[in-house]
This record gives sequence, structure tokens and C-alpha cells, in this order.
Amino acid sequence: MKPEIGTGAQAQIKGHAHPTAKTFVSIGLVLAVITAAEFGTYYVAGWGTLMYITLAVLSVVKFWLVGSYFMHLRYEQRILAGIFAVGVVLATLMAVALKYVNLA
Amino acid sequence: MAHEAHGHDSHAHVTNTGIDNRKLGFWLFLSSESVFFACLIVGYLVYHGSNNGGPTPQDLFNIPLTTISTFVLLMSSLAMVLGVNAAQQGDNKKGMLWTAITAGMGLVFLGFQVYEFSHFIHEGLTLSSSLFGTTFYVLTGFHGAHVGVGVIWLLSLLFYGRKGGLGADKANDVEVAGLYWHFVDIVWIVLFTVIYLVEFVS
Repeated sequence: MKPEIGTGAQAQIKGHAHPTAKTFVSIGLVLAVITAAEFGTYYVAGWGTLMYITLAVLSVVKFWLVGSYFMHLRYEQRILAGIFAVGVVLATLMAVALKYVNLA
Repeated sequence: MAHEAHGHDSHAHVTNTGIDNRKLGFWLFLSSESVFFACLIVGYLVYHGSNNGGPTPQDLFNIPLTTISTFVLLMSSLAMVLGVNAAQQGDNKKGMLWTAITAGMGLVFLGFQVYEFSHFIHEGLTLSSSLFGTTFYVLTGFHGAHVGVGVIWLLSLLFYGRKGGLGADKANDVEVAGLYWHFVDIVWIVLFTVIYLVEFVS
């Protein structure tokens, strides 16, 4: 999705692209549709592993949309995305590792 | 070395990265918060099957209701970003309005959580009834506490801007509060899938 660029004070001061309210509303609509799709999976049976993958993809897309657009990571300096990525990657690796550790 | 920024916010200080030091510090905090919630999620995933003869997740979870509360929190994130955008554009009144709407939707989400918790307790799931109960309440309770802190933060912003509104001079303050709110939303995006939806995959 190509963001629309505004000309607000913040954008002019920082000298980089800044999305408009219309962009944010569009992202909000996409998030609402994805949530509806997630709710729809509740009524679907028999997909097994494919359903796990579908739910994971939908969740990751929502995560990415909120992080990129609402938290402005798409428009900020990359160091901020890097800082957040370190925490998220550590959290994910820890969750995967500990989920499968033998606690017995 | 930090120095006074030349821009819309006389309180803003930038680091030698060119980033406002509050924003940089807050992103470091959010990064550590990710690990904090990962610990709680792992605890839940490991022990959610230990119901000690009590109700199971399938017995309790109400997906339609949780979907509505998830939708409310998602839309509160949209309201928050519109508030940040309005403040950055110097629209003081809309900055106040969207921030107030965000706080209101946060309270609605907390209302859903209070209802859910009271229903679950009535059904026999308490903090000490089973490891499922302990890990569920600790995880979702900490998330709810974060929402509560966010609501207090937003209300304090509204108080802060009660005379002049939330405009360009306070845009950085609104933006940092917005980062916190969006993070809380992101955590719930993960929890909605990991706790609720995955439970019903057959």
C-alpha cells in the first residue's frame, strides 16, 4: 500500500515523508477486515495445520501494519525499527525455545 | 550529547542519532516489554492444558465477545494515530478529541475484560484453581494493567491540554503516549491469536 504524503508541520520539520489521516483510516479498515477474517476461522473446521499457518500470517500482517503505519516505523529512522526488532526477535526465539523445552 | 532541538516542541531534545531522546528511550523500553510479555506467553502456552479438573479454555472462551473487544482496541489504535496526526498538524481540538475517544475505547476494552474475568471466576476458574487459571489471569491481567496505565496516561494528557488543547507544541508528548498505546494493541493482536483463536483449531 503506497502511503499518501502530507505537508504538516512535523513533516516539514523532520524533512521526511509523513502519512495523512486518509492513510491511517485505510489501514484501520484493513485491520478491521483482517479481524473479521480471524473471527471467520472460528467457524471453519478441518484445516488443521493450514489453519495455524493462516492465523499466524493474519496476526503477523496486523502486527506489521500497526508497527509500520500507526507507530510510524515506516517513516522513522531505521535504528528505531532495529531496536524494536531486537526485542521482538528475542521474544519470539525465547517463546519458541521454552515452549518445546522438557519441563518434566 | 543532547542539545535543544530546533522545531515545533521547545521541550524536545535530540540525541546524536537525530532522534528525540524520549522517543529513542521509549523504543528501548518497548523492546524490553516485548521480552516481558514473551515470558508470560510462554508460561501460558506451557501450562494452559493443566486445568486441574476445572474448566478448560474451550469451556470458557467466548470468541464472538473477545472479537468485539479486539475490534474496539484496534479501532482505539486508529483513534490514537489520528490524535497524534492532528497534534502534529497543529489541530489542537482534534488532538484533544481523538485522544479522548482513545481513552474511552480503552475503558470499554477494560469493561469487556472485567466482564470476562467475572464470568470465568463464576465458572470456577480462579488465579489459584489451576495452572491454566494462574497463567491466563497473569498474562491477560498484565495486559489489562497496561491498558489501564495507558488510559491514565491519556487522561493526564487531556488534563495537560485542557486550556490550549493538544497541538504542535505537545505533539511529541502525544506521540510517545501513542507509541505505548499501539504497543499495547500489538500485544493484544498476538494474545488474541495465541490464547483464544488457536484454542479452537481442530
